[in-house]
Amino acid sequence: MPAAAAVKPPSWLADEAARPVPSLPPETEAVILLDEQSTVVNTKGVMTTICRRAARVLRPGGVEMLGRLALAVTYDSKVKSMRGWAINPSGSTREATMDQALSSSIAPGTLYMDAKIMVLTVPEVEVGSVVGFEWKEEQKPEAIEDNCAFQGPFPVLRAHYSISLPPGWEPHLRWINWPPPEPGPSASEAGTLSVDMADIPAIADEPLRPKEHALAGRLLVHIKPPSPHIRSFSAWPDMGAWYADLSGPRRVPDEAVSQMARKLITDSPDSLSKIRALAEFAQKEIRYVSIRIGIGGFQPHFAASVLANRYGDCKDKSTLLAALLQAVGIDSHFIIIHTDRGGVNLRSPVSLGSFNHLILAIRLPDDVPDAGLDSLVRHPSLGQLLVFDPTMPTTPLGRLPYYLQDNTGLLVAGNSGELLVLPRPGLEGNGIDRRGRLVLAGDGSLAGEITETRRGAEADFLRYHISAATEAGRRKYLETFLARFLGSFSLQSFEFKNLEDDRRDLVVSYRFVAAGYAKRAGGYLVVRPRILGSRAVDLDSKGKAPRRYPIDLETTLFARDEFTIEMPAGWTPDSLPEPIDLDSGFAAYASRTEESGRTLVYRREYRLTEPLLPADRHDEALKFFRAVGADEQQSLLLKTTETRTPQ
Amino acid sequence: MTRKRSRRALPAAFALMTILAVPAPGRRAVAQEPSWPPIMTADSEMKDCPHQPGAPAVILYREEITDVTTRTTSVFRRLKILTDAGLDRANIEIPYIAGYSEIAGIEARVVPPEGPAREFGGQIFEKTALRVRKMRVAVKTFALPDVEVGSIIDTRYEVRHRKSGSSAKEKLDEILTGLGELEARPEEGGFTERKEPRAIAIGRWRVQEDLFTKKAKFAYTNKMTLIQFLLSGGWRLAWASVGMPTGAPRIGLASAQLEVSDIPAFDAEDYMIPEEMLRMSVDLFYIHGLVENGEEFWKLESADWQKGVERFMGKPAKLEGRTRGIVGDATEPLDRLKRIYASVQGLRHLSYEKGLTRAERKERKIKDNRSVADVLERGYGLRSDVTRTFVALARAAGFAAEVIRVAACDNKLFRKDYLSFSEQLDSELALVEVGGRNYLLDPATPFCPFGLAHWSRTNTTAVRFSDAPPAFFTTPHFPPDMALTQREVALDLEPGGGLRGSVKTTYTGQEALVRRLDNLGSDDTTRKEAFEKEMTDILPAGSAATLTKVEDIDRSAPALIVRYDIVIPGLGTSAGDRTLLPVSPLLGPGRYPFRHAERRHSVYFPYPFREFDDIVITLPEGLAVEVRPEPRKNQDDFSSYSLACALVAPNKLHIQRDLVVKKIFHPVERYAALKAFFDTARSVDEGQIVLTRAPGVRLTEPHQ
Repeated sequence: MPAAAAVKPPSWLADEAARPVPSLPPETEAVILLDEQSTVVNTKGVMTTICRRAARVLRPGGVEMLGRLALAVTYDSKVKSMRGWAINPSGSTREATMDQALSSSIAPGTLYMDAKIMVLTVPEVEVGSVVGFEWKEEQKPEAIEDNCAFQGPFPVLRAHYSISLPPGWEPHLRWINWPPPEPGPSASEAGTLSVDMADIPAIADEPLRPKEHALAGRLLVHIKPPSPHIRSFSAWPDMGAWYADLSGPRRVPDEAVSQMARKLITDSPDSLSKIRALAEFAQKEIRYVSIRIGIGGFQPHFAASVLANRYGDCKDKSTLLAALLQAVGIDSHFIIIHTDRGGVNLRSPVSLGSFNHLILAIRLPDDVPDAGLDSLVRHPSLGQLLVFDPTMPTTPLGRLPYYLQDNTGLLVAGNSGELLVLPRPGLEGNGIDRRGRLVLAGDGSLAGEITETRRGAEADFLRYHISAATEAGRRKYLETFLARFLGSFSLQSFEFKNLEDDRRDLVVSYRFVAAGYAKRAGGYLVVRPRILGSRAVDLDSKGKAPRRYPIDLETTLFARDEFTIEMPAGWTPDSLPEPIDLDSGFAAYASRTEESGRTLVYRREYRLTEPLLPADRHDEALKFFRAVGADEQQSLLLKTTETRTPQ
Repeated sequence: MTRKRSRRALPAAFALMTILAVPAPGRRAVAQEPSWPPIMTADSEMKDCPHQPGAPAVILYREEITDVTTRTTSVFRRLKILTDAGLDRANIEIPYIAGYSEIAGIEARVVPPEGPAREFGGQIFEKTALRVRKMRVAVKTFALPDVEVGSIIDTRYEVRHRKSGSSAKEKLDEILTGLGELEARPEEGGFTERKEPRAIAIGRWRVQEDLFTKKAKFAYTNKMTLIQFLLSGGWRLAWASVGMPTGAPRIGLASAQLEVSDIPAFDAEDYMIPEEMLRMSVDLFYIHGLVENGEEFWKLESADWQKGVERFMGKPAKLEGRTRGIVGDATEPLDRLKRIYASVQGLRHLSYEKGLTRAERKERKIKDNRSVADVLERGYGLRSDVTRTFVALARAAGFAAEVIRVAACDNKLFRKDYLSFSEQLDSELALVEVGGRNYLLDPATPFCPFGLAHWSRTNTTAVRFSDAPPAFFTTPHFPPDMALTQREVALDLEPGGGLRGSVKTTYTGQEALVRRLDNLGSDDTTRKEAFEKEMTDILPAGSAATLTKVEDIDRSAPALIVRYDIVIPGLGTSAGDRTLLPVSPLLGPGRYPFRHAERRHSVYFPYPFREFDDIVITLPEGLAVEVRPEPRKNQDDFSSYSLACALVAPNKLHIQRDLVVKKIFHPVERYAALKAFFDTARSVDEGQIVLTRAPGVRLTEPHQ
């Protein structure tokens, strides 16, 4: 790319460059010196936002992350201008202007979209540089609100936000993941409301922390215009009503949809099997293709068109399913949700940008028994709602993918909406049973077969990956797994049962020979009875500051292992590992090795009942998982029943 | 100067050039085939691909026909969906560079397993993959509706090449390089393409895809008359292939055609030779009428390069004063040469400055060097400038020194039948004779110590100065001891079963050099993270490594030394009244590279290497060694491994582990033996030391 010419940077940037930077942790890649956002709203509801960002690059990683500015151009937003400058440690300066920006409309998982990303890169940024950007955007969103995302991966020294509204328009500030300032800001006579913040810490990296959007502080400004012609949300029912209006006509079944619905339920004797037939059609017969044009990021295609094409995105799949259900007299409601948990909870204020996914809540007829339906929600007025995600191809009706369990979404009901917490399955809902019968030979080799029975998320996840793999890919998956626990082995055969039938447990069996599994140590054979599988989780913060964020272990889990190992003739245990029994409240773990005739029997159970732990339970969790890890390393000695001659 | 070239990202058709002065006739109308080719019964009935069981789809037929006179490439593709995972193949994407080519006449249909075929009549979108100023990489895209497992998908279209020359592609490469999107390789410089080239690459047929292909046809035609041919200078078509087991293209005066069948799916693996050297492909190029054959081409090109180098270096006598100042009072020839080497290494290495592209240099007014005098006056240079300066100074000091041009093997291997000097012989080294011994030297690589060359320039084809060029030879490779990682580990076994202590890792030769280059421009924190990750990768799960010191990472010292404190929790475990401890605490997965029983491609290590661990473990009071593993030693021509565990004091174990990989290339037939070698190493590493506990001593479990 041609480099920009050297120029004099604007005075605001020069002022920021002159400010001293306080002492920061050595791993800090960059520090935001100034994050300024000024929004002006006109009487037509058009928002013009001018932003300035100045950052000092402290480490090479900061060059990549802050030497560029990326902005989105969509059907309802435009980039009016963008400029960038760098003031380098040598004193040289550089500039980049909007005509140098590159743009792209490529997005992962999207076949086509008419939005584009513009990226402006300032050349020659290096460690020590101060990089500044100034840009102006104009947008007229579907519902008027403003956002100031002031917290991210870098510390911010000063942030300033202001909004100017026409007379009679009311701003309401909502602080998310951040304490409201006391006293709160008040509007000036000119109708401008300003907020200043300082010393905002970065969102630090910690093992198994929730995603950044669930932790980062931001300011959401609800705007209430005097005119009803400009849409704004003051509460979730408003957004529900808007979406009902936007999507309602799209989910009306036409004759083709109705005909298909009737055809699909021909052999279904009861309500649940009818729902299942329709759900499976939307889930498995409609391939995922995302085409987003204009408001298509929010609005689904018509159900009839989705059916004709046999493709669509999450909105389209849910819409078609809703239409199919309606065609046979079953009600359903959309749930708008985010695929990363934690960004929205029952106290969260309404915001158009809270979600990225659409699923369906199916109103269960009264004749449907609720047993075994983990995704069932009992709603006080709507009755029993069976939540289903037709986009996840391997999670059957009645279950939720792990990313939806305990997640909160907006239920669009009637001409309204409300936040709804999705259920978390009971302990038995996500599980894995491993049972193995193996024979240990005198030379230390171990041979036998292990069978895994997987339920819930444990099955869905593996099914999703293995279904798409070739035979060679499946073998490689198992070899990679076995290699974590066995040094030298040969995978002799394997089988995945019920791979296509996601209503049944996924059963994986594999037969292997592991040469030298038991190590000779003088007159002993050293055997690790926990042959494979690991429940230990590394939560070590590697000496960094005390834990700040919750620990997200994703799902509940009930895992059991039982390995029966036939000992070689003439060998007997010298002693057995002591049993272990741990209970930390959020999880329990027990293991035991017993001798039964010529066999060793290793059994263990792991129960994870609280997958989301607050930060103050970190030490407890760390200690628990370290103990699990130590137990997994336990070995025992076999000695010959004849004369023992240790060396 | 050599232009950085990359073939990544763009299909061969984009590289099509019209090198002959044949005026292109008006565009041909989009081919209006009366119908689609018939579908064979066997293809209709196909349920699985026996050559790739479980494959998501199979390519039944593909065809690429390039007609230079109309500047078009006609593409046809027939694919069958075999599983649900293959349904994505019904989303079609056709990339091209807008303004340089265009896509026309897109047609597609779906033939379901039962029922009539359906022509595609839906919307075709055009999206921008990347736009920078007037340059735009666009993608035609559409989704075929109503596709199911068993469907056959036919697509066809024309690529119309609007402009000749490869400037658009090179421009795009330059942009991507500037953005860091292309592979970052230091710019070499030092070779100027002739205005009238002797050979011109016109495209690559990428024969092998990630799906099995039943049959494929590629053709290139240039419908010129004999008179046109003669007027053009007698350019003739030639080809070179990679990985093709059988089937050579049929070559005519100005046309080529290749028909192949049963092409396996390509599957990349770790530790394989560069992918471009394995994936089946055919390169087409024109050779000038004055170049008789390949030998002639290399002779002429080598002679040109040689002349250019000599011109750049100039007369040695002019540098004698400068050289005297550099060598100073050194009298021994080797010392004198080392001083020159150190002096040249002190130049500013432009090729290794991130983001310093040709355009950026121009912007910053960093002039290109045209001679050694320029380099010395300005104090900077590209790789070839630095190497030539070193050789020129060495000559001025009286050494027999020359520049050699090598095929750097980090992204390719040399192919003599592929006639491109700049693409293949893309790096330079110095060869100096001292006391009857030839030294291969790499002064242009920062921190490369005297006597070493970066691994990518070893064991590879090179051409040297000669009165009768080309003088090809193979550069030597360095022995495993020139890539040594030595760890001195001192650990205390703690009562809880954990190990705690320190590690001093000494890297020499290639191992030091690659780490120094990896850390060019990085800061202390980045280095700390990188080294700590490298250490924890060879420790058991749950272990922690804290870097305490790095020595000599920014200079060409003989060794790079990295020190850590490490903690390995729970490695010692209780077994009744005994404690068990693996003989090697360095048991992380990073040490054992091969997991899979089957392998398609030969194993290719960048360089021979050696890892030597010297471990001392101090036992706590109350523990005594009952059993130690027996010493083990395995050795063959390819590798060797040994481990010995000695009791050097009642409470001190001394373990020495030595693993050597002597060969770079391990044919796939030897894979089982190579895997067994590493499996055995792991098995021995995991061997257990049995410790007895004195009465009353107890191993405290962490959870208690």
